[in-house]
Amino acid sequence: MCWVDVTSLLDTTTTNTPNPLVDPSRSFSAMNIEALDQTVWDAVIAGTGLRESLLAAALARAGKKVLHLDQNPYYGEEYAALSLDELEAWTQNVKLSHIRSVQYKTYPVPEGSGLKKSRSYTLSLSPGLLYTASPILSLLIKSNLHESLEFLKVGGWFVYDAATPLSDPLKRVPNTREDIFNDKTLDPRTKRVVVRALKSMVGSEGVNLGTAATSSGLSLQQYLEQPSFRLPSSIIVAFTSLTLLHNLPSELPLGEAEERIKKHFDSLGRFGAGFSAVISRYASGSELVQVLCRAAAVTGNAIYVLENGIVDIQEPGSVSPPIQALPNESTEQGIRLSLKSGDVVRTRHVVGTASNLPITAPADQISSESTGYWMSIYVVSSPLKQIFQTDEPPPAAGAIIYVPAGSIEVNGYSNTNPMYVVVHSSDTGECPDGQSILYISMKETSSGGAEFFDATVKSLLQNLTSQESGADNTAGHILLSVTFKTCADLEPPDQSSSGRVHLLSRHVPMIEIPDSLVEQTMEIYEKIVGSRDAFLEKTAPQEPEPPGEKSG
Amino acid sequence: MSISSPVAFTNNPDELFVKKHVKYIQSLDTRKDEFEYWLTEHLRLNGVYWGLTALHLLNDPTALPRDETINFVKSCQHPSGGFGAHPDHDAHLLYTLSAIQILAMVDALDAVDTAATVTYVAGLQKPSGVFAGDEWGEEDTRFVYTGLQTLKILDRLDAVDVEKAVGFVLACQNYDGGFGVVPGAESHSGQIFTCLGVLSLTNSLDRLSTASRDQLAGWLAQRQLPNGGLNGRPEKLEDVCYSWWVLSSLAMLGKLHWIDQNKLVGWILSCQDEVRGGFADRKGNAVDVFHTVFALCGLSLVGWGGLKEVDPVYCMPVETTKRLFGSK
Amino acid sequence: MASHGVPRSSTTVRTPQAIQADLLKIEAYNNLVSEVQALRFPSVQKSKHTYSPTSLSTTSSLLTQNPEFNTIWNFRRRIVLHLLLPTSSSSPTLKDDNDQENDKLSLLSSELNFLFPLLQKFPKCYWIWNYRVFILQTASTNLSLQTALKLWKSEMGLVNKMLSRDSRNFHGWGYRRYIVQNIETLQKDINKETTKEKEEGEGEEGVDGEEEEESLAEQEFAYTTTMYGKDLSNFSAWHNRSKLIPRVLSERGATIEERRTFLDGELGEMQTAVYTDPYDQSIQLYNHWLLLESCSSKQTTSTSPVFSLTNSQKLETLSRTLEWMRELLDEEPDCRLLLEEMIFVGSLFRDLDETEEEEDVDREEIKRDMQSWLEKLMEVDPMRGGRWREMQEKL
Repeated sequence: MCWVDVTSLLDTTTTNTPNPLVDPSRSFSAMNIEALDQTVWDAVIAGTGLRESLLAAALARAGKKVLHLDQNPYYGEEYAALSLDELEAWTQNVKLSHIRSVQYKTYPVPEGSGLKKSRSYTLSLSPGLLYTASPILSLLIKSNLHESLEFLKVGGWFVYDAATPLSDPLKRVPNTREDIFNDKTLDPRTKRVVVRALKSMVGSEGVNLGTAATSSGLSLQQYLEQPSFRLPSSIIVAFTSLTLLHNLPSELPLGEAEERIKKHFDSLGRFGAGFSAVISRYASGSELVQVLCRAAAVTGNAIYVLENGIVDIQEPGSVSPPIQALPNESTEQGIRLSLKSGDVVRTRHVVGTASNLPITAPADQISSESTGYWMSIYVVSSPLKQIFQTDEPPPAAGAIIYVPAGSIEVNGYSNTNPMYVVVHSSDTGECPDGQSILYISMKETSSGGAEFFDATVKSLLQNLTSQESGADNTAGHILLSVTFKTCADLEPPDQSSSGRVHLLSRHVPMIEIPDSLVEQTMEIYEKIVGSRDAFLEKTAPQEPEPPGEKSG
Repeated sequence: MSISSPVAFTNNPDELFVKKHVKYIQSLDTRKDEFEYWLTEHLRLNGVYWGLTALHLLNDPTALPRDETINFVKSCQHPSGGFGAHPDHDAHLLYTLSAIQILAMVDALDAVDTAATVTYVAGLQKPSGVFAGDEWGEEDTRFVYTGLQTLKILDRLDAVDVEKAVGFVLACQNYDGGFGVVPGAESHSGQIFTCLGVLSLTNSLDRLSTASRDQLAGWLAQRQLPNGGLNGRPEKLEDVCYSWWVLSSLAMLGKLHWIDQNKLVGWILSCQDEVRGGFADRKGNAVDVFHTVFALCGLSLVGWGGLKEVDPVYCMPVETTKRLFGSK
Repeated sequence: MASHGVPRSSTTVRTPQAIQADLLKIEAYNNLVSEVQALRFPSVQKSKHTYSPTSLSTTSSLLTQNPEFNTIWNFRRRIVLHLLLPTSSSSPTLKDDNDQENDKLSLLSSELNFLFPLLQKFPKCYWIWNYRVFILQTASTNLSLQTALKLWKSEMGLVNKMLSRDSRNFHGWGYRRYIVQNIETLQKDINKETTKEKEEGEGEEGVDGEEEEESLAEQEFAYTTTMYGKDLSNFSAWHNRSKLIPRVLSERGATIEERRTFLDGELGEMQTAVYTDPYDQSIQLYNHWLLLESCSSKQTTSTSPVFSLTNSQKLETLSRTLEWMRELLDEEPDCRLLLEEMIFVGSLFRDLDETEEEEDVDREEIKRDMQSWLEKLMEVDPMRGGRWREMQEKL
């Protein structure tokens, strides 16, 4: 029930162990089968998504024995980093209920400027943005896992104004008082109210938003259009772009918007001046998964197996009525799991999403009320240098362009909803030099979706690259696009009756890696270990690490 | 000292942990098993001065043994007349003043060769009127203050060019009414204190116009933050040592009533460590004797807590300055 | 003994292991101190010099651990001065001037390099900054003008770095002013030399264009603009700006008209700044100074007036200022800094003599407004109520 073994499609230099994480000596086949039968695992985790990997690392460091499986021949699940061919295979084989209308499209281009070989691309479904104030980052730093990661700056945050060809179509979103002070297009009074609005949302000395305002049911736009602010729409759009939320400004709940904007400002300056978010090289989500799984493996408490999954779960005492067992209570028998490989294992806990566990959960059904999104990955033949420039070194490798509603026209219609375009430069290692990757997302409407993306990218390429000097005089081209429709995260499902099969809610990666992943993981961790103390902290006395490994 | 209507203080005197603070000060020289003790050898003589002043304000002046104190001060004197922070440390104006202040407080100025001290201090004045800190020439308005106060205590202001010194200090005044380290340097509460100190002890405060003094007092009053604490310059954090530098400056300008004294007291008290004694720079931080003495000075200046009165110009008990200079 | 920003440890008692670790640390440290002190006070029998490169590196170890130990910096000074003496050269052969200069430069440069990581770790330590100043002063007296100038100029790079890390570090700003001063003096001396050489040489008139610019005032002025553009609350930048303006204007040879234009430019910039953030003290203080300097009826303490405005020009500037401040007050009725400034502007206005052109301005109205602003101020800024009550009595 997993996809076609894509490894057979790749050139022979790739092996069946996609990364150094899996130590062959630790694979099932090398293990003593009899010993395996007697092992009762503390947890078997199905799927190497981000939450699952964080859980594995935390449990392993806490001294628990973890068996970590993945049905795919690669790590990461929804955060997996794929080569071009792997991505194409994914589009052909994806059978997830929440991903629809998948399209893989290449474009005709002049000789020599097309796609390079498959392995020179490392693409994932989402841009993997991390705010510097994110608890994920602080957790990684606290547990000394951040050193294996290379973080790059997400520099410019822009609003794209396609309608004004003469002036610069990219307007930087003001981050600071000084940005506003230096903005020649705003008159003094406007500067005052913009700063006041900023301060009121971010919460600093002087003006403070009372809770009354946030629960008033106002949208961000309504709030900022109030007589006390009367902000021009260009500023309202700029503030909206800081939220990374896909609603129209007039439909953006104030409380949510305020929280997001606050997060942005909280994050400014933490790792350096002028930026609030970072991405990791070679696809953030995937790299995080690698670091976490590796952290789990090196403790000696976790074993990794790919291309395997759970086909049957038998809980203990299925005859007698289920007892609410305490997390620390050891049930000798444990839960009996049958794996795809034919092996049978016993464990005290099972963790996974509905797509990785053989249970019918209500989460499997998509309600018609869940919000749909169009998402897309574009590869273009231009380095788009202009948007990665920053005042302070180093240059950025990521940038965000907000395309307001009504600014892109296709066949007489303009986009009803705004779009976010997150750009990754080749500095990320995710595409070859001279090219860039654009991640676009937009809330679904009745009137189309993906065709706006093509038009948007073409417009961007035209307006941005024409200003580039040097050898890049020709406007860049679109080389590839992968588009699909998805829906937002669903509510976490009910737990199973025994409390030992932990169902993770479906997670759809959007623009940023959300903070909630930590909380969800910690909740399950607490159920298994009994408390949250020392989550992910290195065990003492420390496990001896294999030579050559980073000591963290 | 200050023209103000009586302040309605909301804190009770028993909120000051007098006994704990005395014990803390007495314990300072016993901490030889703490690395910090050894790292701060260059502050030893200052530390004695800070501790002794604090004890005087807490009305327990003999809690540090008098003879030992005098002997320690003596051991720090150089043939040049200057004092170092510790035996085997080089002489410097900062320690010289502390030495003289300590001896003044315990009334033992005759225990050392003060004539040599006068020579040492006078030798450090430069043609511009400023004083260097030591033979290596660092110039700073702090040193004008320390030099002149040392000489004033020894009643030897005649040994230097006071007018030039005052002139130098006046040249350090800035666009906001404050004073800096040297002419051209930005205003800072510490420097403001030393410059006003110089002007006060040389009776030249009237060299500042009323408008200028009001402007400076206004600048100082702005140091009070919403939580009641005082910072040292705009946009900085509050710190209990500014309860001295800012407050004494306001006292010298006769404008102590331009801040909320009651709120300040409450804030200063929150900097105490009620377990170990002593005060920290702000609530929850590690205590030290430097912040302890200045917190107590602040409380004394606003007349709270039954502490002994401190002289805002000299940072010594008024009992001592009265004895030295007569009533003013 | 004087620690800032150190969190209190939760445990009042150290574990025996911790105490043991501390004692070892103390022992190691005290051994190092003894070693250095022994070098400082050699016994009479010792014939070996204690002012040697070895002693230098021993002090390095100690100073790296404890840069506040000023006595050891003094010792280091003596070592360096000794090593700079020509007779201290270990080589028996006589070195020529160039080699000697290179040796000296190499020693002084390595001292600067030694200081750099210390400065980064302890950016507010007086002793480290002082020692750096000492090294540069020593360079000025021991090296050729050109070499010394190069050294001073490269310090600008250091200070730029320090100030971009902490733009409020007053040691950094003070050091910057000091560097500028020295560069200017050195440049002047070099130019004098060059001119003298030219005169003695071909007897041509010295060509001004070949001389290096002596004054850095314009560059420094531009730097303050950059700094407040990055952070409006940069009090240090505004302060420096206030010091540079008189000099810049005089170097430009600005006429009264040009000074007026300059003033209007500054006031316009301040209006934008105050509007952007009327709660910021640095902006308020600088604006206050501009108005005081330009529109006061009394002669300010500066030796020569920076802006020589006529009485009616002063009135006009003040009423213009009051107008935009009133508009801003509508937006921010509770802003105490704004209220304070408006009262100040009003008082400046009332101090000036009346003119015939004063039609729209009602002095009585201004007085009434000042009273209402003062009442509002007492309401929104009760902490400083003592001052406001005093002000009320005077009104």
